[in-house]
Amino acid sequence: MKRRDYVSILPRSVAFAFLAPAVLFLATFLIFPVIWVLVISFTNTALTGPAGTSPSFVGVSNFSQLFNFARWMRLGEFGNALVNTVIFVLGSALLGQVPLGLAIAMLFHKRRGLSRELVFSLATMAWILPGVAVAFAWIAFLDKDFGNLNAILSVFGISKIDWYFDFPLYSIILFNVWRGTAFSMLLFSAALGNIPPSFWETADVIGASAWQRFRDIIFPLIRPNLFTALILVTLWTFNVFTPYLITGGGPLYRSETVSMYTYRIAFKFLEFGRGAAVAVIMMSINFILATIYLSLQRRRSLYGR
Amino acid sequence: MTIVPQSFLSLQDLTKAFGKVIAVDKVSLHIEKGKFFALLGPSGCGKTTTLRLVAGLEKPSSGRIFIDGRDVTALPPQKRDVAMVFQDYALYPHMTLRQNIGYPLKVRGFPKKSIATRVEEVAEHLMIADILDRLPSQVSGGQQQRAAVARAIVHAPKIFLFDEPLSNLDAKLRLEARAFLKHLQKELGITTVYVTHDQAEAMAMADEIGVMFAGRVVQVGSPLELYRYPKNRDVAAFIGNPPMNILPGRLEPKAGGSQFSGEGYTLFFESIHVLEDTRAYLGFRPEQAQLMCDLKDSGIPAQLYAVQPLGSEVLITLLVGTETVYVKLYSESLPALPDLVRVKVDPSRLYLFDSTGACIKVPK
Repeated sequence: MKRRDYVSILPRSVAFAFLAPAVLFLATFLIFPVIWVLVISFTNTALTGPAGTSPSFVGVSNFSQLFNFARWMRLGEFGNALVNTVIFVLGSALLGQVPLGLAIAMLFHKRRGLSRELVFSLATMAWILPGVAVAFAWIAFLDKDFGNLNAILSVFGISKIDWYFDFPLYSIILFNVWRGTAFSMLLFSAALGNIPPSFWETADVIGASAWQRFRDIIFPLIRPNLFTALILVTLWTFNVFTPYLITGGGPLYRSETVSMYTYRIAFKFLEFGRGAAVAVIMMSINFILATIYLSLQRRRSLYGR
Repeated sequence: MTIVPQSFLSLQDLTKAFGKVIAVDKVSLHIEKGKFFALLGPSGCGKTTTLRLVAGLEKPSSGRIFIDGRDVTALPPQKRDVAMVFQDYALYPHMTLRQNIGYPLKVRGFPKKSIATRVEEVAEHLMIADILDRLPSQVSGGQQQRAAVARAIVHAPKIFLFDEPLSNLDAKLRLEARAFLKHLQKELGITTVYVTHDQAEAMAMADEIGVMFAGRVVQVGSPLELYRYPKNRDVAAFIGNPPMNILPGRLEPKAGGSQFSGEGYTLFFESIHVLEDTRAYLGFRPEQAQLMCDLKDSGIPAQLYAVQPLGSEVLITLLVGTETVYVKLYSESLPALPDLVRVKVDPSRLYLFDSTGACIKVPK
């Protein structure tokens, strides 16, 4: 990057004065809490018990407990939550939302009219409705005895399935795909809209098949958007908490993700020290993903268009 | 039964409606093999839609298209064996020029080796062989245009379709590209349909021009035919640089002919006969008019508006009443002109259009 010469239009002190409110705001609500979490992750701070009144510094013991490899894969432990999270992210973001969003965007790229409006509205609605409302709807939808899905399946002669008991993780993956596909769909729809019509038409005149056109022309042109979608959706899915409202992480921690695990340790067991340690790990993973995302963003103007 | 036309490219009563808007209205054209045909018209006249119909990018509402004796009306673009160059060239930004030019061959499943040879051959021909490994964003507009043309000719199509391919170039490059395209077309002998709104471009390049207004082809002819014998006022006012001057007035029957009365002048036409007093338009080419400084002279009284020296000629803008009139004088020196002049045109060089705009008198 070339450093540009700049002419200051304001004295430095005035410039800092203008910056101060924003810096103060960020410091109070972002930087300070992050440092605080980092600090208490090395203590046994809790709301109840002996540590509740006099927390003490415990070194890395919170972390070593999380990564106690002898037992961390047991249900309800951190390793289990981590594995669940990986499956959840892979299933709902990488295999679910992003490809599905791309498929819908491709399918409706040149179609205008009712079907497009309907699909886009429904998908967007699923995305913007309040989490509590959609969670309740999904509890109802997948209910064993009275749920819509089982009612529909019974038409085809499929007997009742207890979704939340037999397939808790797959159920929340399905839920999350439904919930979040709109983002990828809108992103890809905009990306496809940015491709000049003459690019498609040239391919038509040349005689490229649909697959050739996608592989040789469309895909390379939307690749930057694909990275954006993959990283952002991964980030969001990693942190998402709404599925907790459906399964509560159960049964028996089988659908518990890291964010649910953090919540359980910190706010149900009220062991803030241990909860903070998990939060620190979560933040680190987020930080890595965000760094990848930002560095890709910088390299995006690849084609100089 | 449909009669298969003799011409290489034939459009028969081609119509395209978008909702209630009729973009192309019963267009019939017959283009001979190897000809350079220009579709000329103002923006929104339906010329690009006509081209897209030929390419197969739009489906006609009615009518038929024949290419080389084959009815292609229902065929998709890739089965028509045409190549199209778009206004924005549509070079794929992530492919090098080599990949772009070779892409039609790759799609057709040619072996890599023969693609490479053919791309080199075409690029050599179009003088872009040394920049084949650059991306489109790394070459100039003129080179991009050549690459787009190269991609179009690489698989030797039956018909070339150009959609205003020069409008993204600056004036100097455009002149160069005009000659280049015309030369190339003659050399390859590929039947070409070229859409443009620039009459100078159409005149300079085409063997034959079809002039379109409001979805209809108004006149088809060689450039000089259109220049000399415009069928109506629209064509006359569209062709020429600057185009024909057209002045409104009235035409009334007189013994032995008719008299045209305009703003402060009358002209007698021996050969024209009208039944009654009617609206009419007088037309003459800027390059065929003369200016008289002596006000006692007969001619059209005009007020001097602006004098533009162009080097080899001088373009003079005048006002006749409220109408603008151009006169082109072939003189390298600036004439000294009074504010009021007379415009004089050899009567045999005058055009007359009736109230509907149809041409009723052309020069002898």
